[in-house]
Amino acid sequence: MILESWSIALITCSAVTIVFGFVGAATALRLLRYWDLGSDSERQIRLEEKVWLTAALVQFALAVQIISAVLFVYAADYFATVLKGAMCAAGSLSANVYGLPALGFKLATIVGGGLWIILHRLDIDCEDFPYTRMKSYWLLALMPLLLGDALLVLLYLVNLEPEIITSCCGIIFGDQESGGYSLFDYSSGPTVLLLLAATTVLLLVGSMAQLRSASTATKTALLSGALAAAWIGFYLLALAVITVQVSPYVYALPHHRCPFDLLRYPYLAIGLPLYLFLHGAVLCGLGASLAGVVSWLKGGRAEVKPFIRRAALFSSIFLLLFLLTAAWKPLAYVIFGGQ
Amino acid sequence: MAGSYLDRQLNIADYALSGFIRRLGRNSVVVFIFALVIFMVASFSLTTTSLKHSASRLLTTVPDITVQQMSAGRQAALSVTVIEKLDGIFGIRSMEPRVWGYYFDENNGANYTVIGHANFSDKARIAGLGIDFLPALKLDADADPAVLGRGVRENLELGERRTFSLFRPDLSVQSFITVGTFSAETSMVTDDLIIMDLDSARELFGLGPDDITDLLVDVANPLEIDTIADKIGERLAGVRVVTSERIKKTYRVAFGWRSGFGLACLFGAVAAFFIFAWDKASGLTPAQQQEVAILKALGWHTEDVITLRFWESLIISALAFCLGYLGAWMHLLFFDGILFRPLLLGWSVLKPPLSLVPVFSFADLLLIFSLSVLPYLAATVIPAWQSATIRPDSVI
Repeated sequence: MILESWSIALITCSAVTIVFGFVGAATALRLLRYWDLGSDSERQIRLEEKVWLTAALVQFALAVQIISAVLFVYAADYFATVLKGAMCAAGSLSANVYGLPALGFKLATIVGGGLWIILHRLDIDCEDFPYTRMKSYWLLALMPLLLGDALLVLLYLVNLEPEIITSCCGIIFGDQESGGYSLFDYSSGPTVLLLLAATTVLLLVGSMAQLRSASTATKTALLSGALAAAWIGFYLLALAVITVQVSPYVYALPHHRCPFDLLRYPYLAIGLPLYLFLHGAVLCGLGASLAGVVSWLKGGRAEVKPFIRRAALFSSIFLLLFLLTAAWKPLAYVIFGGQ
Repeated sequence: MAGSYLDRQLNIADYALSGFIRRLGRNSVVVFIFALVIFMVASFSLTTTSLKHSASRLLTTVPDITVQQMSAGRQAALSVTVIEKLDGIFGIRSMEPRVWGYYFDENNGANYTVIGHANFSDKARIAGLGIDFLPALKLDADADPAVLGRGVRENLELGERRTFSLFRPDLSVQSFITVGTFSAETSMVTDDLIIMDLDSARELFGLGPDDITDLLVDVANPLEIDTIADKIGERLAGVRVVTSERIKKTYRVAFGWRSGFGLACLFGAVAAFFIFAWDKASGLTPAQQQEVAILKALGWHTEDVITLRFWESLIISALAFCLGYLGAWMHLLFFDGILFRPLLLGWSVLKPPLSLVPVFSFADLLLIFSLSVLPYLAATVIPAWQSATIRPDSVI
């Protein structure tokens, strides 16, 4: 279905990010080779100007990737109306092997791009641009992700045929006992919830420690590393909990489990803040951790401390808001009963 | 901190707006051409969505399952006796035989769709098709009653007359009398349509007394449609079983594909505009270069100038988007999407005089935005940086 308007829009977005990525990567290579802050040569001055070009390109590419991710989900929702068996984006994305990985790559590039911008902000806040080389390596590391994303989207669209028979979310995320494929094991439902609760407590305690600011750079880096791992774990657990535990309460249907229908009217009222708070919390949390680690790599720079405190505060606020939004419908059911 | 960031952005936006007004003449040209590009993209998108809505509204009257006999890969006549073979399938509410064919009118080169309906005399059963019945006449025994689409009436130049004749395959004449006309709302599917009694249609096409072209099956529980369709396929050899959901999906695929194809055809024009935008953003006038130099001498950073250029592009985009989208909306509402409708709806001698109503959807808005505004903004990023790196000492 490459000749659908949605496909053309998605390919346009991919083309923009790839072109910007290549221009940025070429600049990053030049920066890695010739960057010398002590020099006042014409080349160094040009390179310092190119730092702004790279920043503008990455920021724009990130905005395009965010729009492209929203577009991808809406496109999948549209494809569900022409694919046999699909009823929402979940069915269309699993219509071939490229759909879900493409979405995963998109989200990974958004997080990667967001962290690059945080690193850039930290870099330009210091007089001696300490993280310029690190930024260049980071950008080069993002390139395979960007290329992978564009390739997967293209393969997904090329291999999407109206004759494909796919499944609806009720089957993909359904209970095995009721004939579903059960992407998640429901017998471990309470365990997942318990894990999420434990991770949340750990993250909140960790963020409080970041707010208080640890005594040495090594301690900050250790704490940041542990928190980064915890945030990634929390993100995956949260997605599972949203799908399995939260979504049936939002739809008011015990057997309807789907993370994508939450972005449809009228569930959007819960779904949109839920995903915004989750991604905001994870990005702020990872940003604080990144700042802690890179400052340690550069021998413990004091300039990052206000940023770490701010990011830790925001991540905690977003985390609490996410938990409140996620618990809203289940709690309302427990307290006020069903509809 | 957030407050100061917002203040900075608002101040730069304010400055960008005053710059836009200062260069109103030059900017108006870009806004006009960009609005034209957005108009084309938005027209395609809005017309497609509107057609899909019209089609899905009309297709609610389509039977749950249609059964057709196939022979050597082509459709052949089906015997009405198959109804007895399917009688035992639990879940079927009713079955109706139908004759569906095309009549070529040699006088004007038009093709009419002819449907022979078993319950033609029962007005209540075909009321869903939106027929304006004419006052009852004492029917002539030789003239068969028929309901006509508005396009057919005009093509046959009937005027106020109600009787007309069509040729049978052996070139003998069969007379008809108009008993009703389809209402304008259903003209997308009824404009070229003639509905008549099953026997009249058989006679018109020279079919045998038991022959039909399709069997329409109505299923009590919509969830069982696919299962019953499978059972019908098992009981009757060499038949094609089409469900209503498949027909709806085929319509969506057809409209989606045509819309995408149209957009791909427009790609050249759209790309030319983005090259123009890139070129315009790259070629700064001496006055603009001087402006950047003064701003930098006053303490503006490279990033501030890039932000300023971004705001300028955003103002142009927002204006062009509003104008283009509004234009597309009016094109559809007042002119029935006249520019792009032939591509999306197809060409035929009898063009359906369909009245399209624009449908607002956030998804459409996002689609139009990402096909027009996003590439424009992308085309101005690198020129924005180039203009921001002008050194004050080289200009002033």
